[in-house]
Amino acid sequence: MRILFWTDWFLPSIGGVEVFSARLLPALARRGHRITVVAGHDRAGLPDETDFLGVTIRRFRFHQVLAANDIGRLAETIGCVARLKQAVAPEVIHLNTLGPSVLFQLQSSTRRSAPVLLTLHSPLAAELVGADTLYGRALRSARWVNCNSRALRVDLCRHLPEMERRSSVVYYGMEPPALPPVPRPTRDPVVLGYGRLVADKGFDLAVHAFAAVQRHFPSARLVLAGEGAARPDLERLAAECGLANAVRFVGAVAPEDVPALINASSLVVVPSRWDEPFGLVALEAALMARPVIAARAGGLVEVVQDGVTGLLVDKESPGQLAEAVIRLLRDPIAADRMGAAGQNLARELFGWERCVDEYERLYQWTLDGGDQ
Amino acid sequence: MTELQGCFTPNREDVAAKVIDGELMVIRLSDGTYYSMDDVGTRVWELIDGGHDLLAVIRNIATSYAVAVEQVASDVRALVQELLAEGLILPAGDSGRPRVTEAPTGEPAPYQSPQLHIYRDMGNLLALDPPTPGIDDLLFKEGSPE
Repeated sequence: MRILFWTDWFLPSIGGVEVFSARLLPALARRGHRITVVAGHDRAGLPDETDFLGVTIRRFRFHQVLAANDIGRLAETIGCVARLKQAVAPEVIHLNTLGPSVLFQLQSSTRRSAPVLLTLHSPLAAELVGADTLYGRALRSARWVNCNSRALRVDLCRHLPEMERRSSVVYYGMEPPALPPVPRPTRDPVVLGYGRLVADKGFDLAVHAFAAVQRHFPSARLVLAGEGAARPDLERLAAECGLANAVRFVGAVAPEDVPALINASSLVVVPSRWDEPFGLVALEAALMARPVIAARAGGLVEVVQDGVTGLLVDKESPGQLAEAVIRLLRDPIAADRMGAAGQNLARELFGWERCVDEYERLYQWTLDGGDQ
Repeated sequence: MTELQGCFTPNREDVAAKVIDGELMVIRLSDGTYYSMDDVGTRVWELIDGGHDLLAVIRNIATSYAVAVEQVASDVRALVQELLAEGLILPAGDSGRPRVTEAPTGEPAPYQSPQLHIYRDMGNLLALDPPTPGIDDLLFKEGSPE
C-alpha cells in the first residue's frame, strides 16, 4: 500500500512520536509498503529529501512559513505538498500530529483526497477541539482516529462524542531488547525513575517518598535518569531531604542504553502527575522483567496491572509511593513474580509484530471506508 | 436588521489572501488567525474583490452553479456577515464599474453552501516548543542502519 505518513518532526528530533515512527515505518517498508514521510524542517542542515531504511523522508519548512505569515510562501509550500501527493498518489494518509503543519495537509487535499487515518498520541487540549480550530477540523475530517491507549480514546470521545463510532485503540508495541534481563539487585536496592526531568513526570514525589524508603533500607539508592528543566529543583530537593548521597542524577541516557540502565535497577517508578498517554517507560521496564510502581495516570493503568505486574498508587501521593516501594523491597519474591508477569504481558499485549500487524489492518480499514 | 447590500472590499490593511489550488487562504495579520474557503466561498471572495455588489455576486453564483437564487442569496449573505464579523472585508462605496472577474474554467464543482474555515489555534500551535534537540548526533546518522 502507498502510505503518506505525516508528522511534525522526524529523526533526528527525538520524542515519543519520532521513536515510534522510526520503528514502525521501516517495519512496514520491509513488508512491501511504500512509505513517504512528510515532516517539518526543525533545524538547518538537514536535507529536503533523504532515505531512512527504505522510507522516503521529505522535509518542508512548515513552521517557518507559518511563523512568517507570508501568503506567498504559504502558497508555494502548499503547491509543493500537492505535487508530492500527486507523485506519490497515496492510498492512505496517516496523520500523526495535530500540530500546525496539518494546515498544509488540509489545504493540499481538496481535489486529490486520500482517506486520512489520524493517530492520537497525546491528550487533546479541550480549548483546541472547537469547530473553528485546525485541531478540530483535522479530527472531524479524518476517516478514522486511532488512539494509543484506552485512556486517550475516552478523552477523545468526551470532547467529541461522535468519535465513538470512528475510533479505535491500537497500543504501541516494543521489541524485546537484545540485552537479556539479569536478576534484580536486592542487596543494595536501586529504585529507578527515568524520562524528561519536568514537573509533569512527578520525580519530586519520588524524592519525597525516598526519604521514607531510606529509613527502612539505608543502602537503597534512587537513580534519576534524564534531563530537563526540573533537574536543579530536584537536586536541591534531594539535598534538603538529606538524600544528597542517596539520589543519583545520571543525566540523559541514549535509547539503546536504556535496557542496561533498567538491568541495574531493582524496580522502576513512574510517578507522573499528568495523564500519560501511554507509558512507554513502564513497558520498557516490563520487558526487562522489572516490577513497575506507577501513578494511576492516563494510559499507565493499562500498561501496569495492579498487584500483577507492579503496583498502582494515587497521583500526587508520596506516602503511597513510599509504601509501595518498601513493600516490594521487603518481598523480593513477589517483586520477581511481578517482573516476570510484566515481561509476559509486554510480549503478548504490547508485542512489536502485533503492533505492525494492527497498523496494517488500520490502513486497510481506513482505505475500505472505516465505518462508512 | 437592515439586509446586507452594496459593495464590500477585502480589508487589505489587515488581510493577506490568495487563491491556492482553487481554495482561498486568508491570514488575518494582526493576530495570525488563518482562514480557508472552498470552491463557492472562494468564488464569492473573488467577485467581492472584483468590485461586484452583493446582488451581482449572488446572481453570478446562482448562474454559474445553476442553483436557486434564493438559496444562494441566503448562503452568500451569511458568509458575508461572517467575513465582516471576522474583519476580513469592509463595506465599500460604489466602486464604479466592476472589474471583470474571470470565471473558473471547466465545469464548476457541485454547489455546496460556502463555509469559512477558521483556525484560531494557529498562533497557539506555533508557540508550542519546538522539538528537543540534543542527542541526535549521538544516536542517529541518517541512512545508517539502526
